[in-house]
Amino acid sequence: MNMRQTALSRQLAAWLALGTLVGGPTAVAAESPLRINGFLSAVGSQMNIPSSYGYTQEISDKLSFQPGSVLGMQFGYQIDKQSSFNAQLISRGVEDWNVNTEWAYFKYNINHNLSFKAGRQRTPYFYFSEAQEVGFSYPWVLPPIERYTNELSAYDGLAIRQAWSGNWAGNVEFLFGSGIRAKGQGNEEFDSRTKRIAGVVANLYKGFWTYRASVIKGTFVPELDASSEDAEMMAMVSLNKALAQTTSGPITDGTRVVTTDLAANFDNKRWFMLAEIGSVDYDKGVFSDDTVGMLTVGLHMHRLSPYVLLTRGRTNSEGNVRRNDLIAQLNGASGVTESDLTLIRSYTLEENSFSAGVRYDLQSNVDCKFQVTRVTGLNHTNGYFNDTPERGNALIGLFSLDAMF
Amino acid sequence: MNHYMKSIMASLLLGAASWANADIAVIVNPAYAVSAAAPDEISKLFLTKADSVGGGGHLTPVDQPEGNALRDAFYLKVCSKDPAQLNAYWSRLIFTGQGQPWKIIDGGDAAIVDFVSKSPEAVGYVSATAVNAKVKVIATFPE
Repeated sequence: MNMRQTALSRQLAAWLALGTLVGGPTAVAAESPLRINGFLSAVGSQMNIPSSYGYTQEISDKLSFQPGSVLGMQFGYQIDKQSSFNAQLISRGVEDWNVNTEWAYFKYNINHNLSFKAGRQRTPYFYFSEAQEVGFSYPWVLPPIERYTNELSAYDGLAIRQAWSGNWAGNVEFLFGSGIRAKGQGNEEFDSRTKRIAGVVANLYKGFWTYRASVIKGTFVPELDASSEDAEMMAMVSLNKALAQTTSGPITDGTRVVTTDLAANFDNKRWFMLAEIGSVDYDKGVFSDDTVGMLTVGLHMHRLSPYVLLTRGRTNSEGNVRRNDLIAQLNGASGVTESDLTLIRSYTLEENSFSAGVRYDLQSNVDCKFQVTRVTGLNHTNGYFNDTPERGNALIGLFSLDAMF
Repeated sequence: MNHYMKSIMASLLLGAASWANADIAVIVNPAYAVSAAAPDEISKLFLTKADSVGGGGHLTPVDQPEGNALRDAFYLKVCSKDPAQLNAYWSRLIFTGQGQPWKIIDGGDAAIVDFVSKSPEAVGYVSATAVNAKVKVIATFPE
Protein backbone atom coordinates (compact mmCIF):
# COMPACT_ATOMS: atom_id res chain seq x y z
CA MET A 1 0.00 0.00 0.00
CA ASN A 2 1.57 3.30 -1.03
CA MET A 3 1.42 6.57 0.93
CA ARG A 4 -1.56 7.89 -1.03
CA GLN A 5 -3.55 4.73 -0.45
CA THR A 6 -2.60 4.82 3.22
CA ALA A 7 -3.81 8.41 3.52
CA LEU A 8 -7.00 7.46 1.73
CA SER A 9 -7.55 4.49 4.00
CA ARG A 10 -7.11 6.71 7.05
CA GLN A 11 -9.49 9.29 5.62
CA LEU A 12 -12.13 6.70 4.84
CA ALA A 13 -11.71 5.06 8.23
CA ALA A 14 -12.12 8.40 9.97
CA TRP A 15 -15.27 9.27 8.01
CA LEU A 16 -16.73 5.82 8.53
CA ALA A 17 -16.01 6.00 12.25
CA LEU A 18 -17.64 9.41 12.38
CA GLY A 19 -20.67 8.15 10.51
CA THR A 20 -20.98 5.10 12.70
CA LEU A 21 -20.61 7.16 15.86
CA VAL A 22 -23.13 9.72 14.78
CA GLY A 23 -25.43 6.81 14.12
CA GLY A 24 -27.75 7.87 11.35
CA PRO A 25 -29.15 10.52 9.11
CA THR A 26 -31.48 11.94 11.71
CA ALA A 27 -28.81 12.43 14.32
CA VAL A 28 -28.51 16.17 13.90
CA ALA A 29 -31.05 17.86 16.10
CA ALA A 30 -34.23 18.41 14.15
CA GLU A 31 -34.81 21.75 15.89
CA SER A 32 -31.51 23.26 14.75
CA PRO A 33 -31.70 25.50 11.65
CA LEU A 34 -28.37 23.99 10.55
CA ARG A 35 -28.37 20.44 9.25
CA ILE A 36 -25.22 18.54 8.44
CA ASN A 37 -25.33 15.19 6.68
CA GLY A 38 -22.66 13.19 4.98
CA PHE A 39 -22.07 10.12 2.89
CA LEU A 40 -19.17 8.07 1.72
CA SER A 41 -18.51 5.20 -0.61
CA ALA A 42 -15.28 3.27 -0.83
CA VAL A 43 -15.38 1.33 -4.08
CA GLY A 44 -12.91 -1.33 -5.15
CA SER A 45 -12.72 -2.73 -8.65
CA GLN A 46 -10.72 -5.00 -10.91
CA MET A 47 -11.31 -6.54 -14.32
CA ASN A 48 -9.86 -9.48 -16.15
CA ILE A 49 -8.45 -7.78 -19.26
CA PRO A 50 -5.63 -5.23 -19.71
CA SER A 51 -7.75 -2.20 -20.54
CA SER A 52 -9.49 0.58 -18.67
CA TYR A 53 -13.20 1.03 -18.33
CA GLY A 54 -15.94 3.04 -16.75
CA TYR A 55 -17.02 6.51 -15.79
CA THR A 56 -13.49 7.87 -15.83
CA GLN A 57 -11.64 4.90 -17.31
CA GLU A 58 -10.26 4.03 -13.90
CA ILE A 59 -11.39 0.41 -13.70
CA SER A 60 -8.44 -1.68 -14.85
CA ASP A 61 -6.86 -5.08 -14.47
CA LYS A 62 -5.24 -3.85 -11.27
CA LEU A 63 -7.14 -3.73 -8.01
CA SER A 64 -8.06 -0.12 -7.42
CA PHE A 65 -10.01 1.71 -4.74
CA GLN A 66 -10.38 4.99 -6.61
CA PRO A 67 -13.20 4.60 -9.14
CA GLY A 68 -16.45 5.71 -7.62
CA SER A 69 -14.95 6.31 -4.19
CA VAL A 70 -16.37 9.51 -2.84
CA LEU A 71 -16.86 11.52 0.33
CA GLY A 72 -19.66 14.06 0.58
CA MET A 73 -20.77 16.59 3.16
CA GLN A 74 -24.03 18.45 2.91
CA PHE A 75 -25.04 21.57 4.74
CA GLY A 76 -28.57 22.88 4.96
CA TYR A 77 -29.58 26.05 6.72
CA GLN A 78 -33.24 26.85 7.33
CA ILE A 79 -33.35 30.63 7.02
CA ASP A 80 -37.01 30.89 7.95
CA LYS A 81 -40.13 28.78 7.57
CA GLN A 82 -40.18 29.18 3.79
CA SER A 83 -36.57 29.56 2.70
CA SER A 84 -33.41 27.54 3.06
CA PHE A 85 -29.89 27.33 1.73
CA ASN A 86 -28.30 23.99 0.79
CA ALA A 87 -24.77 23.13 -0.30
CA GLN A 88 -22.90 19.92 -0.93
CA LEU A 89 -19.14 19.44 -0.92
CA ILE A 90 -17.68 16.38 -2.62
CA SER A 91 -14.24 14.83 -2.64
CA ARG A 92 -13.64 12.12 -5.25
CA GLY A 93 -10.95 9.49 -5.52
CA VAL A 94 -10.65 10.04 -9.26
CA GLU A 95 -9.92 13.72 -8.65
CA ASP A 96 -7.18 13.04 -6.09
CA TRP A 97 -9.62 13.82 -3.29
CA ASN A 98 -9.78 17.52 -4.08
CA VAL A 99 -12.83 19.10 -2.46
CA ASN A 100 -15.40 20.66 -4.82
CA THR A 101 -18.66 22.45 -4.21
CA GLU A 102 -20.95 20.11 -6.08
CA TRP A 103 -24.00 22.29 -5.76
CA ALA A 104 -25.27 25.19 -3.69
CA TYR A 105 -28.67 26.76 -4.01
CA PHE A 106 -31.34 28.83 -2.32
CA LYS A 107 -34.79 27.29 -2.01
CA TYR A 108 -38.02 29.17 -1.41
CA ASN A 109 -41.34 27.48 -0.71
CA ILE A 110 -44.04 29.71 -2.17
CA ASN A 111 -46.60 27.42 -0.54
CA HIS A 112 -46.68 23.80 0.58
CA ASN A 113 -46.73 22.51 -2.99
CA LEU A 114 -44.95 25.13 -5.05
CA SER A 115 -41.26 25.92 -4.62
CA PHE A 116 -38.36 27.28 -6.57
CA LYS A 117 -34.60 26.81 -6.33
CA ALA A 118 -31.92 29.15 -7.60
CA GLY A 119 -28.23 28.38 -7.82
CA ARG A 120 -26.06 25.43 -8.82
CA GLN A 121 -27.98 22.15 -8.94
CA ARG A 122 -27.46 18.63 -10.24
CA THR A 123 -28.92 18.16 -13.72
CA PRO A 124 -31.70 15.55 -13.32
CA TYR A 125 -31.10 13.76 -16.62
CA PHE A 126 -31.96 10.26 -15.42
CA TYR A 127 -33.63 8.47 -12.50
CA PHE A 128 -30.53 8.35 -10.31
CA SER A 129 -28.59 11.28 -11.81
CA GLU A 130 -28.97 13.52 -8.78
CA ALA A 131 -28.00 10.78 -6.31
CA GLN A 132 -25.49 9.15 -8.64
CA GLU A 133 -22.67 9.30 -6.13
CA VAL A 134 -24.67 8.39 -3.01
CA GLY A 135 -23.90 4.70 -2.94
CA PHE A 136 -26.15 4.06 0.05
CA SER A 137 -29.21 5.16 -1.93
CA TYR A 138 -29.15 2.44 -4.61
CA PRO A 139 -28.74 -1.32 -4.77
CA TRP A 140 -25.69 -1.56 -7.06
CA VAL A 141 -22.04 -0.91 -6.31
CA LEU A 142 -22.12 1.75 -9.05
CA PRO A 143 -25.03 2.90 -11.17
CA PRO A 144 -25.06 1.18 -14.58
CA ILE A 145 -22.09 2.59 -16.46
CA GLU A 146 -23.78 2.47 -19.86
CA ARG A 147 -26.44 4.94 -18.68
CA TYR A 148 -24.80 6.94 -15.92
CA THR A 149 -21.47 7.77 -17.51
CA ASN A 150 -21.95 11.02 -19.34
CA GLU A 151 -24.37 12.79 -17.11
CA LEU A 152 -22.40 13.74 -14.02
CA SER A 153 -23.00 17.42 -14.33
CA ALA A 154 -24.56 20.42 -12.71
CA TYR A 155 -26.25 23.53 -13.96
CA ASP A 156 -26.55 27.09 -12.75
CA GLY A 157 -30.12 28.25 -12.97
CA LEU A 158 -33.67 28.07 -11.73
CA ALA A 159 -35.99 25.16 -10.99
CA ILE A 160 -39.67 25.48 -10.23
CA ARG A 161 -41.50 22.53 -8.74
CA GLN A 162 -45.22 21.93 -8.34
CA ALA A 163 -46.33 18.93 -6.28
CA TRP A 164 -49.76 17.45 -5.66
CA SER A 165 -51.35 14.79 -3.48
CA GLY A 166 -54.07 12.27 -4.18
CA ASN A 167 -54.44 8.80 -5.64
CA TRP A 168 -51.85 9.66 -8.26
CA ALA A 169 -49.59 11.93 -6.24
CA GLY A 170 -46.61 13.48 -7.94
CA ASN A 171 -44.63 16.51 -8.90
CA VAL A 172 -43.41 18.28 -11.97
CA GLU A 173 -40.29 20.40 -12.16
CA PHE A 174 -39.28 22.90 -14.83
CA LEU A 175 -35.65 23.88 -15.00
CA PHE A 176 -33.70 26.52 -16.87
CA GLY A 177 -30.03 27.40 -16.84
CA SER A 178 -26.56 26.74 -18.13
CA GLY A 179 -24.65 23.58 -17.36
CA ILE A 180 -21.06 22.82 -16.60
CA ARG A 181 -19.01 19.67 -16.63
CA ALA A 182 -15.39 19.56 -15.65
CA LYS A 183 -12.78 17.50 -17.43
CA GLY A 184 -12.64 14.03 -15.97
CA GLN A 185 -16.32 13.92 -15.08
CA GLY A 186 -18.50 11.79 -17.28
CA ASN A 187 -15.67 10.15 -19.18
CA GLU A 188 -14.73 13.33 -21.03
CA GLU A 189 -11.27 14.52 -21.93
CA PHE A 190 -12.28 18.17 -21.93
CA ASP A 191 -14.26 20.77 -20.01
CA SER A 192 -17.64 21.53 -21.47
CA ARG A 193 -20.72 23.68 -21.08
CA THR A 194 -24.29 22.96 -21.90
CA LYS A 195 -25.89 26.31 -22.64
CA ARG A 196 -29.55 27.27 -22.73
CA ILE A 197 -30.74 24.26 -20.74
CA ALA A 198 -34.49 23.87 -20.51
CA GLY A 199 -36.19 20.80 -19.18
CA VAL A 200 -39.09 19.20 -17.45
CA VAL A 201 -39.09 16.27 -15.03
CA ALA A 202 -42.26 14.58 -13.77
CA ASN A 203 -42.75 11.95 -11.08
CA LEU A 204 -45.93 10.00 -10.35
CA TYR A 205 -46.53 7.84 -7.28
CA LYS A 206 -49.10 5.07 -7.04
CA GLY A 207 -48.89 2.28 -4.49
CA PHE A 208 -45.45 0.68 -4.60
CA TRP A 209 -44.74 2.25 -7.97
CA THR A 210 -42.87 5.41 -8.96
CA TYR A 211 -42.97 6.55 -12.57
CA ARG A 212 -40.61 9.18 -13.92
CA ALA A 213 -40.30 10.97 -17.24
CA SER A 214 -37.92 13.73 -18.24
CA VAL A 215 -36.92 15.76 -21.27
CA ILE A 216 -33.97 18.13 -21.05
CA LYS A 217 -32.48 20.01 -23.95
CA GLY A 218 -29.50 22.30 -24.32
CA THR A 219 -26.57 23.25 -26.50
CA PHE A 220 -23.46 21.22 -25.75
CA VAL A 221 -20.19 23.11 -26.22
CA PRO A 222 -16.85 21.36 -25.61
CA GLU A 223 -14.04 23.68 -24.53
CA LEU A 224 -10.82 22.60 -26.21
CA ASP A 225 -7.34 23.84 -25.39
CA ALA A 226 -5.25 24.11 -28.56
CA SER A 227 -2.08 24.74 -26.55
CA SER A 228 -2.43 21.56 -24.49
CA GLU A 229 0.18 18.84 -24.82
CA ASP A 230 -2.14 16.20 -23.43
CA ALA A 231 -2.51 13.44 -26.03
CA GLU A 232 -6.28 13.15 -25.71
CA MET A 233 -6.78 16.90 -25.88
CA MET A 234 -4.49 17.13 -28.93
CA ALA A 235 -6.54 14.42 -30.61
CA MET A 236 -9.77 16.36 -29.92
CA VAL A 237 -8.24 19.59 -31.23
CA SER A 238 -7.16 17.77 -34.41
CA LEU A 239 -10.64 16.27 -34.81
CA ASN A 240 -12.23 19.67 -34.30
CA LYS A 241 -10.12 21.10 -37.13
CA ALA A 242 -11.09 18.21 -39.37
CA LEU A 243 -14.79 18.65 -38.62
CA ALA A 244 -14.57 22.32 -39.61
CA GLN A 245 -14.34 21.02 -43.20
CA THR A 246 -17.65 19.17 -42.95
CA THR A 247 -21.26 20.26 -43.11
CA SER A 248 -21.40 19.57 -39.37
CA GLY A 249 -18.80 22.20 -38.51
CA PRO A 250 -16.44 22.16 -35.52
CA ILE A 251 -17.78 20.72 -32.28
CA THR A 252 -16.73 23.90 -30.49
CA ASP A 253 -19.57 25.69 -32.33
CA GLY A 254 -21.99 23.78 -30.14
CA THR A 255 -24.47 21.00 -30.74
CA ARG A 256 -28.09 20.88 -29.70
CA VAL A 257 -28.70 17.89 -27.47
CA VAL A 258 -31.94 16.43 -26.17
CA THR A 259 -31.95 13.92 -23.32
CA THR A 260 -35.11 11.92 -22.66
CA ASP A 261 -35.80 9.30 -20.06
CA LEU A 262 -38.61 7.03 -18.89
CA ALA A 263 -38.36 5.00 -15.70
CA ALA A 264 -40.56 2.81 -13.54
CA ASN A 265 -39.60 1.72 -10.06
CA PHE A 266 -41.34 -0.86 -7.88
CA ASP A 267 -40.36 -1.46 -4.28
CA ASN A 268 -42.27 -3.43 -1.66
CA LYS A 269 -41.33 -5.59 1.30
CA ARG A 270 -40.12 -8.43 -0.89
CA TRP A 271 -39.19 -7.21 -4.36
CA PHE A 272 -37.65 -4.21 -6.01
CA MET A 273 -37.39 -3.41 -9.68
CA LEU A 274 -36.16 -0.49 -11.75
CA ALA A 275 -36.73 -0.35 -15.48
CA GLU A 276 -35.33 2.63 -17.34
CA ILE A 277 -34.85 3.63 -20.94
CA GLY A 278 -33.10 6.84 -21.82
CA SER A 279 -31.70 8.43 -24.93
CA VAL A 280 -29.32 11.23 -25.82
CA ASP A 281 -29.74 12.84 -29.25
CA TYR A 282 -27.41 15.40 -30.84
CA ASP A 283 -28.49 17.31 -33.92
CA LYS A 284 -25.05 17.17 -35.56
CA GLY A 285 -21.41 16.38 -34.92
CA VAL A 286 -19.55 13.31 -33.81
CA PHE A 287 -21.07 12.60 -30.45
CA SER A 288 -23.05 9.40 -30.29
CA ASP A 289 -26.85 9.45 -30.29
CA ASP A 290 -27.57 6.55 -28.03
CA THR A 291 -30.36 4.75 -26.29
CA VAL A 292 -29.71 2.70 -23.19
CA GLY A 293 -32.19 0.39 -21.54
CA MET A 294 -31.68 -1.21 -18.18
CA LEU A 295 -33.59 -3.52 -15.89
CA THR A 296 -32.79 -4.33 -12.29
CA VAL A 297 -34.70 -6.92 -10.28
CA GLY A 298 -33.90 -7.81 -6.72
CA LEU A 299 -35.15 -9.28 -3.48
CA HIS A 300 -35.30 -7.89 0.04
CA MET A 301 -34.25 -10.73 2.35
CA HIS A 302 -33.87 -9.06 5.73
CA ARG A 303 -30.41 -7.45 5.54
CA LEU A 304 -29.52 -9.06 2.23
CA SER A 305 -30.67 -7.66 -1.10
CA PRO A 306 -29.48 -9.80 -4.02
CA TYR A 307 -30.08 -8.36 -7.47
CA VAL A 308 -29.45 -8.79 -11.15
CA LEU A 309 -28.98 -5.98 -13.64
CA LEU A 310 -29.26 -6.09 -17.42
CA THR A 311 -28.25 -3.18 -19.64
CA ARG A 312 -28.23 -2.68 -23.37
CA GLY A 313 -26.79 0.41 -25.04
CA ARG A 314 -26.83 1.22 -28.74
CA THR A 315 -26.06 4.16 -30.97
CA ASN A 316 -29.28 5.07 -32.76
CA SER A 317 -29.56 4.53 -36.50
CA GLU A 318 -29.67 8.30 -37.05
CA GLY A 319 -26.39 8.62 -35.16
CA ASN A 320 -24.81 5.88 -37.24
CA VAL A 321 -25.92 7.55 -40.48
CA ARG A 322 -24.52 10.91 -39.34
CA ARG A 323 -21.21 9.37 -38.28
CA ASN A 324 -20.80 7.48 -41.54
CA ASP A 325 -21.63 10.65 -43.46
CA LEU A 326 -18.92 12.56 -41.57
CA ILE A 327 -16.38 9.85 -42.28
CA ALA A 328 -17.34 9.93 -45.98
CA GLN A 329 -16.90 13.71 -46.07
CA LEU A 330 -13.50 13.54 -44.37
CA ASN A 331 -12.04 10.62 -46.33
CA GLY A 332 -9.20 12.07 -48.34
CA ALA A 333 -9.77 15.63 -47.12
CA SER A 334 -6.63 17.65 -46.54
CA GLY A 335 -5.09 17.54 -43.09
CA VAL A 336 -7.35 14.73 -41.91
CA THR A 337 -5.48 11.89 -40.26
CA GLU A 338 -6.41 8.27 -39.70
CA SER A 339 -6.45 9.11 -35.99
CA ASP A 340 -9.22 11.63 -36.61
CA LEU A 341 -11.31 9.00 -38.37
CA THR A 342 -10.60 6.44 -35.64
CA LEU A 343 -11.72 8.95 -33.03
CA ILE A 344 -14.96 9.57 -34.91
CA ARG A 345 -15.58 5.81 -35.12
CA SER A 346 -15.00 5.52 -31.37
CA TYR A 347 -18.14 7.60 -30.72
CA THR A 348 -20.26 4.50 -31.11
CA LEU A 349 -22.02 2.64 -28.37
CA GLU A 350 -22.62 -1.05 -28.64
CA GLU A 351 -22.51 -2.64 -25.26
CA ASN A 352 -24.51 -5.08 -23.18
CA SER A 353 -23.87 -6.07 -19.63
CA PHE A 354 -25.17 -8.53 -17.11
CA SER A 355 -24.49 -8.01 -13.43
CA ALA A 356 -25.28 -10.03 -10.36
CA GLY A 357 -24.65 -8.67 -6.93
CA VAL A 358 -25.73 -8.42 -3.36
CA ARG A 359 -26.15 -5.60 -0.87
CA TYR A 360 -25.80 -6.37 2.82
CA ASP A 361 -26.91 -3.77 5.36
CA LEU A 362 -24.34 -3.88 8.14
CA GLN A 363 -26.28 -1.22 10.05
CA SER A 364 -29.24 0.95 9.21
CA ASN A 365 -26.79 3.50 7.75
CA VAL A 366 -23.89 1.31 6.53
CA ASP A 367 -23.89 -1.28 3.77
CA CYS A 368 -21.43 -3.38 1.84
CA LYS A 369 -21.98 -4.61 -1.70
CA PHE A 370 -20.41 -7.10 -4.05
CA GLN A 371 -21.06 -7.22 -7.76
CA VAL A 372 -19.78 -9.12 -10.76
CA THR A 373 -20.42 -7.60 -14.19
CA ARG A 374 -19.88 -9.23 -17.54
CA VAL A 375 -19.65 -6.79 -20.44
CA THR A 376 -20.46 -8.20 -23.89
CA GLY A 377 -21.94 -7.23 -27.26
CA LEU A 378 -19.15 -4.80 -28.16
CA ASN A 379 -19.09 -5.92 -31.79
CA HIS A 380 -15.54 -4.64 -32.33
CA THR A 381 -16.31 -1.25 -30.76
CA ASN A 382 -14.87 0.32 -27.64
CA GLY A 383 -18.02 0.54 -25.57
CA TYR A 384 -16.90 2.25 -22.40
CA PHE A 385 -13.40 0.80 -22.64
CA ASN A 386 -10.51 3.02 -23.70
CA ASP A 387 -9.82 0.66 -26.58
CA THR A 388 -11.52 -2.29 -28.24
CA PRO A 389 -11.04 -5.39 -26.08
CA GLU A 390 -9.53 -8.16 -28.20
CA ARG A 391 -11.70 -10.85 -26.71
CA GLY A 392 -14.87 -8.75 -27.09
CA ASN A 393 -15.94 -9.08 -23.49
CA ALA A 394 -14.74 -8.46 -19.97
CA LEU A 395 -15.48 -9.55 -16.44
CA ILE A 396 -15.44 -6.89 -13.74
CA GLY A 397 -15.48 -7.41 -9.99
CA LEU A 398 -16.73 -4.54 -7.84
CA PHE A 399 -17.26 -4.11 -4.13
CA SER A 400 -18.10 -1.17 -1.94
CA LEU A 401 -18.67 0.05 1.55
CA ASP A 402 -21.26 2.83 1.75
CA ALA A 403 -22.37 4.92 4.67
CA MET A 404 -24.53 7.92 5.37
CA PHE A 405 -24.56 9.97 8.53
CA MET B 1 -42.06 -10.26 47.10
CA ASN B 2 -44.43 -7.87 48.75
CA HIS B 3 -47.78 -6.78 47.38
CA TYR B 4 -46.36 -3.45 46.11
CA MET B 5 -43.64 -5.15 44.03
CA LYS B 6 -46.15 -7.66 42.65
CA SER B 7 -48.36 -4.80 41.53
CA ILE B 8 -45.47 -3.10 39.76
CA MET B 9 -44.43 -6.32 38.03
CA ALA B 10 -48.00 -7.04 36.97
CA SER B 11 -48.39 -3.51 35.60
CA LEU B 12 -45.14 -3.74 33.66
CA LEU B 13 -46.04 -7.12 32.17
CA LEU B 14 -49.53 -5.94 31.32
CA GLY B 15 -48.13 -2.78 29.77
CA ALA B 16 -45.60 -4.69 27.72
CA ALA B 17 -48.21 -7.17 26.57
CA SER B 18 -50.67 -4.46 25.61
CA TRP B 19 -47.98 -2.56 23.67
CA ALA B 20 -46.82 -5.70 21.90
CA ASN B 21 -50.34 -6.39 20.67
CA ALA B 22 -51.44 -2.80 20.20
CA ASP B 23 -52.54 -1.49 16.86
CA ILE B 24 -50.72 1.48 15.40
CA ALA B 25 -52.90 4.55 15.14
CA VAL B 26 -52.18 7.43 12.79
CA ILE B 27 -53.37 10.60 14.47
CA VAL B 28 -54.08 14.16 13.43
CA ASN B 29 -55.42 17.22 15.15
CA PRO B 30 -59.22 17.04 15.67
CA ALA B 31 -59.55 20.18 13.56
CA TYR B 32 -58.30 18.36 10.46
CA ALA B 33 -61.11 18.07 7.94
CA VAL B 34 -60.56 14.43 6.97
CA SER B 35 -61.47 11.53 9.27
CA ALA B 36 -60.15 8.51 7.39
CA ALA B 37 -57.20 7.80 5.11
CA ALA B 38 -56.18 4.79 3.05
CA PRO B 39 -52.90 2.96 3.79
CA ASP B 40 -51.43 4.16 0.48
CA GLU B 41 -52.17 7.76 1.42
CA ILE B 42 -50.44 7.35 4.79
CA SER B 43 -47.45 5.73 3.08
CA LYS B 44 -47.15 8.59 0.60
CA LEU B 45 -47.42 11.11 3.40
CA PHE B 46 -44.55 9.66 5.43
CA LEU B 47 -42.39 9.10 2.32
CA THR B 48 -42.83 12.76 1.21
CA LYS B 49 -44.73 11.73 -1.92
CA ALA B 50 -47.82 13.65 -0.80
CA ASP B 51 -48.61 16.25 1.80
CA SER B 52 -52.29 15.64 2.49
CA VAL B 53 -54.89 12.87 2.62
CA GLY B 54 -58.42 12.66 1.34
CA GLY B 55 -58.34 16.11 -0.17
CA GLY B 56 -57.71 17.68 3.23
CA GLY B 57 -55.21 20.39 4.01
CA HIS B 58 -51.45 20.20 4.34
CA LEU B 59 -49.99 17.76 6.88
CA THR B 60 -46.46 17.54 8.23
CA PRO B 61 -45.49 14.21 9.79
CA VAL B 62 -43.64 13.92 13.07
CA ASP B 63 -41.66 10.83 13.86
CA GLN B 64 -40.75 8.48 16.67
CA PRO B 65 -37.00 8.31 17.45
CA GLU B 66 -34.81 6.04 15.34
CA GLY B 67 -34.49 2.59 16.89
CA ASN B 68 -37.97 2.78 18.41
CA ALA B 69 -39.79 -0.55 17.91
CA LEU B 70 -43.07 1.14 17.03
CA ARG B 71 -41.31 3.23 14.38
CA ASP B 72 -39.75 0.14 12.83
CA ALA B 73 -43.12 -1.64 12.85
CA PHE B 74 -44.92 1.38 11.36
CA TYR B 75 -42.54 1.83 8.44
CA LEU B 76 -42.42 -1.88 7.73
CA LYS B 77 -46.19 -2.26 7.90
CA VAL B 78 -47.25 0.95 6.16
CA CYS B 79 -44.34 1.87 3.90
CA SER B 80 -42.82 -1.61 3.40
CA LYS B 81 -39.40 -0.43 4.48
CA ASP B 82 -37.10 -1.71 7.20
CA PRO B 83 -34.73 0.78 8.88
CA ALA B 84 -31.93 0.38 6.32
CA GLN B 85 -34.32 0.60 3.37
CA LEU B 86 -35.88 3.67 4.91
CA ASN B 87 -32.49 5.31 5.31
CA ALA B 88 -31.59 4.40 1.72
CA TYR B 89 -34.82 6.03 0.60
CA TRP B 90 -34.15 9.15 2.65
CA SER B 91 -30.56 9.34 1.45
CA ARG B 92 -31.82 9.93 -2.08
CA LEU B 93 -33.92 12.84 -0.82
CA ILE B 94 -31.42 14.30 1.62
CA PHE B 95 -28.40 14.28 -0.66
CA THR B 96 -30.27 15.72 -3.59
CA GLY B 97 -31.63 18.50 -1.40
CA GLN B 98 -35.23 17.33 -1.86
CA GLY B 99 -36.04 16.67 1.75
CA GLN B 100 -35.00 16.14 5.33
CA PRO B 101 -36.23 13.51 7.80
CA TRP B 102 -39.25 14.45 9.83
CA LYS B 103 -39.05 16.19 13.14
CA ILE B 104 -38.49 13.63 15.87
CA ILE B 105 -40.56 13.88 19.04
CA ASP B 106 -38.84 12.43 22.08
CA GLY B 107 -40.90 11.38 25.06
CA GLY B 108 -42.86 8.49 23.61
CA ASP B 109 -46.46 8.21 22.50
CA ALA B 110 -47.74 10.69 25.06
CA ALA B 111 -45.44 13.40 23.74
CA ILE B 112 -46.57 12.77 20.16
CA VAL B 113 -50.23 12.81 21.15
CA ASP B 114 -49.61 16.07 22.99
CA PHE B 115 -47.74 17.62 20.04
CA VAL B 116 -50.39 16.63 17.50
CA SER B 117 -53.19 17.87 19.75
CA LYS B 118 -51.57 21.33 19.70
CA SER B 119 -50.51 21.40 16.03
CA PRO B 120 -53.24 21.72 13.39
CA GLU B 121 -50.99 20.46 10.57
CA ALA B 122 -49.19 17.65 12.40
CA VAL B 123 -49.67 13.94 11.78
CA GLY B 124 -48.04 11.20 13.83
CA TYR B 125 -48.38 7.56 14.73
CA VAL B 126 -48.64 6.03 18.17
CA SER B 127 -49.73 2.86 19.85
CA ALA B 128 -53.53 2.79 19.66
CA THR B 129 -53.70 2.49 23.43
CA ALA B 130 -52.12 5.95 23.75
CA VAL B 131 -54.84 7.73 21.79
CA ASN B 132 -57.08 10.11 23.69
CA ALA B 133 -59.84 12.57 22.86
CA LYS B 134 -57.38 15.37 22.07
CA VAL B 135 -56.46 13.77 18.72
CA LYS B 136 -58.29 12.15 15.82
CA VAL B 137 -57.40 8.71 14.40
CA ILE B 138 -57.43 8.64 10.59
CA ALA B 139 -56.01 5.15 10.11
CA THR B 140 -55.24 2.08 12.18
CA PHE B 141 -52.83 -0.70 11.36
CA PRO B 142 -52.73 -4.01 13.23
CA GLU B 143 -49.40 -4.60 14.95
